[in-house]
Amino acid sequence: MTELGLAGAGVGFMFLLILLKVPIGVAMALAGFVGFGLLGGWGASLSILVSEPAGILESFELAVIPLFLLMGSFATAGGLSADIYRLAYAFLGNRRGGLAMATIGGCALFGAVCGSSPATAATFGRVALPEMRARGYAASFAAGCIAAGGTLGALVPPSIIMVVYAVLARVPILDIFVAALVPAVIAVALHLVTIALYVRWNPKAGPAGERFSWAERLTVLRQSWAVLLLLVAVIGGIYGGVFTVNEAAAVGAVFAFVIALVRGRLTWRSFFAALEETAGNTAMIYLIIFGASIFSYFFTVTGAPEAMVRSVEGLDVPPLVVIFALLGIYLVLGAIFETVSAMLITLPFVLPLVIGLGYDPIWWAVINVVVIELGMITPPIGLNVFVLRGVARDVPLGAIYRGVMPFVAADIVRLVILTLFPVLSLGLLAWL
Amino acid sequence: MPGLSRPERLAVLGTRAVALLGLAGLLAIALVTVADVLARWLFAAPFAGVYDLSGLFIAVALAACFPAALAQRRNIRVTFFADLAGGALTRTCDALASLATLFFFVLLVWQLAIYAGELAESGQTTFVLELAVAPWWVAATILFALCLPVQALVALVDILAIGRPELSRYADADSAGGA
Repeated sequence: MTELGLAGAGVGFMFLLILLKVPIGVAMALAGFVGFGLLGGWGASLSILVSEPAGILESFELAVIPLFLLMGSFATAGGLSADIYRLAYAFLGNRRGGLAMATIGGCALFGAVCGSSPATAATFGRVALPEMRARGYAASFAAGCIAAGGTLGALVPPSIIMVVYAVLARVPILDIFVAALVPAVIAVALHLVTIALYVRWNPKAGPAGERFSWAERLTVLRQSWAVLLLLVAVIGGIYGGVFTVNEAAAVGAVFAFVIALVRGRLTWRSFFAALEETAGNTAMIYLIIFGASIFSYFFTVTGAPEAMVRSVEGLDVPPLVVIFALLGIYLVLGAIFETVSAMLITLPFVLPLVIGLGYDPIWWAVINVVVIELGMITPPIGLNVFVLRGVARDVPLGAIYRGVMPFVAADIVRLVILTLFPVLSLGLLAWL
Repeated sequence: MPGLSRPERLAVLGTRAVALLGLAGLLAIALVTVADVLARWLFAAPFAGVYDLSGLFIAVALAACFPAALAQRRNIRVTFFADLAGGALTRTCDALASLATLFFFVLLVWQLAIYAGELAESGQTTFVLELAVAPWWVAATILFALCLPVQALVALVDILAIGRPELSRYADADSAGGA
C-alpha cells in the first residue's frame, strides 16, 4: 500500500473505531499507532505512543486547561453565574425580550470565566431558564436562547478549545484570544438583534420585565464586585501584559476559589465536587489531545497533507470555494462530535490545506471555533440542545430546536461575514 | 448495582481520592504561581524555579485524573450510530470499546515505564532548581498504571453485560459531551 493509501486507511480505521463507540481519543491514538506501525515499524510506533503523550503532559501551555476548568467549577460553586445574570438583567431586563438579552450577555461574560460551551449552556439552563419561564417566556424561545448563548462560552476568550488549537497548530495562544475578541462582540450583537427581531414578530415569546432605576443598577453592580474583579483580573491581566495566559489561569482558579470561600458557598462537598468535575473533564480532554497528537504525527509522516493541498490547488477553484466546502463539512461534524473532538479529528489534514490556500492559521482558529459551535446547535444532534434537554426535561427536543433556529440563522450570517472579511479577526491583532 | 457493584464502587471511590489529591496539588501550584506573580509585579522579585516545579507537578496532577475518569466511564464517544443497532450488538460495541481502551492504556503504561527508566538512567534534572526529573515521571507512570486494573474491571463488566443486559452501565450514561 502507498503512503497516501495508508493515510486514507488510517482515517477510515479511525472513523470505524469511533462508530464502534471507542472513545474518540483512543480511536485516534490506535489508528495513528497502527498506521505508523505499518509505515515505519512497530518500534518507532511504540515510541510515538510515549513521546507524544509525555510532551503533552509536560506542556506548560496546555496546563491552562485544568486551571481554567477549575476556575469555571469554582465560579459556578461560588454562585458567580447568578451574579452575572442578575447584572445583565438589571441593565437589559426592562426591554421586550430583555431577559433573553440578559441571558446572552450573561453567557458571554460567563464564557470568559468558564471557557466551555456545554458547561455555559448547562449553567445558564439552571440559572436563567426557570427565571424566563416564570416571567412568561415561551419555553422553546427561552431554551433555544440559552443553547445558542452557550456557544459563546467557547468563543469568548479565554477559551479551552482555542488553547488546544494554539498548542497543536503551534501558534501563540494570546494571538488567538485577541483575534476572537471582535468576532465575540459581533456574535453577542447579532444574538441581541435576533432576539429584538423575534420578540417584535412574536411579542408573547418574551414579555418585558421591570425597569431598574440607575440607583438599583449601581447597587446590583456593587453586589457583583466579585465577578467583575475576576473578569478584570483575568482578562485585564492577560491583555494588560501583567501576566501570561498560564499565570492568568492560575490567578483565575485561585481567585474563583477565594471568592467562593469568602462568600461561604464553598462547603467541603462543593469543593470536592468542583475538583472531581475538573478531574473528569481534564482527563477527557487530554485523552483526545493524546490521540490527536499521535494520529497527527502518523498523518503528517504519510505526506497526505501536502498531497491534499496539491490536489486541491490542482482543482483550480477559488480558495474561498474550498473554505466554504470545509465549513459545510464542519457543520455536519459539529452536529455529531463535541467541539474539541470535531476540531482535533480534522486538524491534521485541514490546517495544512487552509495554510496552503494562503489563509492565516489564527483566522482559521476563529472560523473553526465559530463553525463547530454552530454545529452544536444545529439539528439533528447539536450537543448544546441536548444539554438543555437534560436541564429542562419538560421541554420537548423539537421545541428547543424551533427556539434555536433564529440563532442558527444569525450564526450563519456571522460565519459568512467572518469568512469573507478576515480583517474582522485579524485587524485588532495587526493593530496591536 | 447488581453483580460486580462492590469492586466497581471501590474503584470509583479509590480513584476519586487519587484525583482529588492531584487536583488539590494543582490548586496548590496555582497558589504558588499567584504568589510568584504578585512578588514579581509588586516587588520585582519573582520566586526562582516556579516554572520548574509547575512543569514537574502538572504532569503528576494530570496523571492522577485518568483513573477516576476511567472508573466513572467519563469518555467522549459517539454513541448514536452503534445504538441504532440496539440490544446485544450495542453492548458488544461497548465491550470492544472498553477492550480497545484497555489495550491503549497497556501500551501507554508500558512505554511510560521505559521512558521513566531512561530518565532515571540519564539523571536528567530541571534547568533552574536542578531537581531530578525521573521520580516525578515514575509517580506519573504509577498513576497511569492505576488505570489498568480499573479499565480491566470496566471491560469485564462490559463483557459480562453482553449476555446480561442488567449489568450494562451505559443505559443512560453515554456521553457525547466535554469541553
